[in-house]
Amino acid sequence: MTATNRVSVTCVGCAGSKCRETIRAGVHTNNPILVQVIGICSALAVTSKLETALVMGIALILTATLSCFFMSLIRNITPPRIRMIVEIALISVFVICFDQILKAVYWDMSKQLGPYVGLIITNCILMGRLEGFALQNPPLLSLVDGFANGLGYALVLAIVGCVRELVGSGSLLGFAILPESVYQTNLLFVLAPGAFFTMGLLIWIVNAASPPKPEKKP
Amino acid sequence: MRSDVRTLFFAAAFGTTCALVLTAVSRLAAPYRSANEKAEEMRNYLSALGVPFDEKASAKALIEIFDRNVVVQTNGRLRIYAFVPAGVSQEAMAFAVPLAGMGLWGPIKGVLALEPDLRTIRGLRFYQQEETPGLGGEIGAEWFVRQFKGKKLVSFTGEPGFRLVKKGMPLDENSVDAITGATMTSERVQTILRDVAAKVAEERGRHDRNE
Amino acid sequence: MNPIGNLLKRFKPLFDQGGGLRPLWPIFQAADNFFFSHVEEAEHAPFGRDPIDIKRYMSLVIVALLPSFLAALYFFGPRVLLMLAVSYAAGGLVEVLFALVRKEEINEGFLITGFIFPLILPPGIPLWMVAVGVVFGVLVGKEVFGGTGRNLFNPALVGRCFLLLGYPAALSKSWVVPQSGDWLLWWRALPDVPADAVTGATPLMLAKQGTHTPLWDLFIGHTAGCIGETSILMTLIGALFLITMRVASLRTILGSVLSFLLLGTILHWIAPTRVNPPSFNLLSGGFLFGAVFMATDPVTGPVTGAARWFYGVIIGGATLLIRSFSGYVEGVMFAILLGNICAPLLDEIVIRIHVRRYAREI
Repeated sequence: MTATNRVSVTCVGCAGSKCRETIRAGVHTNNPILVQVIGICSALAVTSKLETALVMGIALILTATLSCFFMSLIRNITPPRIRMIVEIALISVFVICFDQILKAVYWDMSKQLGPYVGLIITNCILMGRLEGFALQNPPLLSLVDGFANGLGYALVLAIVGCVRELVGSGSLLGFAILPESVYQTNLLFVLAPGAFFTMGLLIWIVNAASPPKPEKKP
Repeated sequence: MRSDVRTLFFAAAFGTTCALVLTAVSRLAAPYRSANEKAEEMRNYLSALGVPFDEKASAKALIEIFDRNVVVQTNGRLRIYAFVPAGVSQEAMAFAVPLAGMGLWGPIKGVLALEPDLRTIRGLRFYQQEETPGLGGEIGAEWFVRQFKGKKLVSFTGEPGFRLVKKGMPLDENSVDAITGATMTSERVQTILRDVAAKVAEERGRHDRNE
Repeated sequence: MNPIGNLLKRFKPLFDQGGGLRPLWPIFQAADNFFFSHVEEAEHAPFGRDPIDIKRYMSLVIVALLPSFLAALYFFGPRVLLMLAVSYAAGGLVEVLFALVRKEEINEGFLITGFIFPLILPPGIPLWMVAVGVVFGVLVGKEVFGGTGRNLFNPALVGRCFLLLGYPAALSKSWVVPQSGDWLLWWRALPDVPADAVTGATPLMLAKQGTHTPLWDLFIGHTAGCIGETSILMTLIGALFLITMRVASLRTILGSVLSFLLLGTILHWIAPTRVNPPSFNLLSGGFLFGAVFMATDPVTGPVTGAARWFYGVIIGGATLLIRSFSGYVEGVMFAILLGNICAPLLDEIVIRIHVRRYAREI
């Protein structure tokens, strides 16, 4: 009881600026894909259409938020020696739940996403956030961090999905933007390499637009 | 020693909680999921057989339509799905057989629908394939499978078989255009079709004897 | 001096530091260079003597490509000129844009890329694809890495690779049987291919189906194929020129051709049904063109002598393996791109071995 009290007090105390900073870090300055370049495999695989990219983004936001929150809740009673196993187990619970629900109510989408929802379990972003943030920070802040990182991932996926669907198939969310008679499907953008190029160019543009980072001190 | 016990206790409690949550969710989702999986397969057979159904029908409705209209029989090496329209007649209006084989990059699976004479093709559909998109992948496209409608699975002389020939060559009842630029995939599809033609011929023999 | 010189001199202040049109300096610079080719002179010691500067190098390669270009013109008609114009216009636009953004001079490197790119395309390719391909090649193959001299891959090949993987169906429809001599027909059909021009399979496609084109046709170039690669005779003339001028590395060319022939002979002996005879393999497709003009690109190839041999061997071997055992009928493009990836590594290995030997001697 006292533990939870302490937790909520610290969280209220730090609400304003720290919260905003966490969101900014997750979405922009420390974006998991653009800056840390992790979680790439799923980003390559599911971005051929905007719709799948969006669903995958939502899946990651949900699982990241929930697992960060719960991990932070039990961080003080988790024995350090088995913390990694606990992290993985916690992530898998949420991911499998999401996968099952998707299969039950949104079958077509689940078929298109294939194994990639299940593979969120091994996604480096989640593991990294749990290990690097949720273990040291109070639950609500961890929840915000998980959400922010999920959002950062989802935003990049949405942009890449937009570009690939538009260039690759000339449509957006399944509606034809360019008539089929004029537009020729570009297979490279329909297939995974298109995501490589789009993401590489995106990172290039973001890096070129933002001011040069100060060199890290060793 | 005490910390070991604590670790063990935590692991057990945590594991049990996780397992409980997972079991509950899986139990709740299971009926919907299996219905979806079954409906997926049935949708392929229904559309190949030409059974009228609503594209957006729910999984449950699809299974119901399938059960009312389709009779599944297994004869030797071949599994046959017969279309017997409910309340209209006792005679089968069409048959469907599963297709399977190796493509260029991975397995190809599909459904071949036949007219009651077990010679004429009624429809063809590939629902699983990993061929080169844009070249071999075109076997999933409408223009490719449409060519098969009305063609025969036997040649002039009555030999079972089927041919995919180069575009521009003369076509007969027993052949269709292959895909330009995808020779390998076309060859594999031809093999799969010949394989099925042989099995169907066997089945036809049994049919004719019975009558 | 002549009027152009005076004109340029009069407008120079506008483009100089502090002038109103400073952002457009690269364009002015390029115009100035094009007419007068100013060479920066060293004003104090040490003076080095550089017998060949980058501009002369570029012009030599263009001269070496001319025979192939003329052959393309002869076999595939005036549409070749149109493709060249599109390639230069679209790629040049990207080049100028980047020069403006980066505030650098316009680089001559593009002269070769823009010239060689249409030569490695099928003759019937839609013109917008030429533009898309060259833009992608210059952008992703070169500018992303920092411009000429810093690129990892040959930009023209990156562009072609993009087209082949992006629009495989359109590309496989664009092969045309050469109509040497019948220019009027081609002229009237511009900007398209004549409607009755037979779309023909390339010799390598035909070989997969069992028919081998006569070697003499292959040598002269009277076959379907990429417009610049079909004539082996012209490629050889270009190769001879490049080698005597010491512009292309003989080691790279020899390494690739010899390994190609050796491996081809062995594999043909083992599996004659899958592997074409070495003589046919050498003369068909774009292998020689690629080995002579693209593998020898000094920027994307290795610089040390021994590494060049190995680089050639990688290209020759990979081409043969891709041609014989994969779904693709032609493999030079992939092989050279693969070689490009290995080039820095090969250099590194050779240099380390040298350093170690040197250290031991001391």
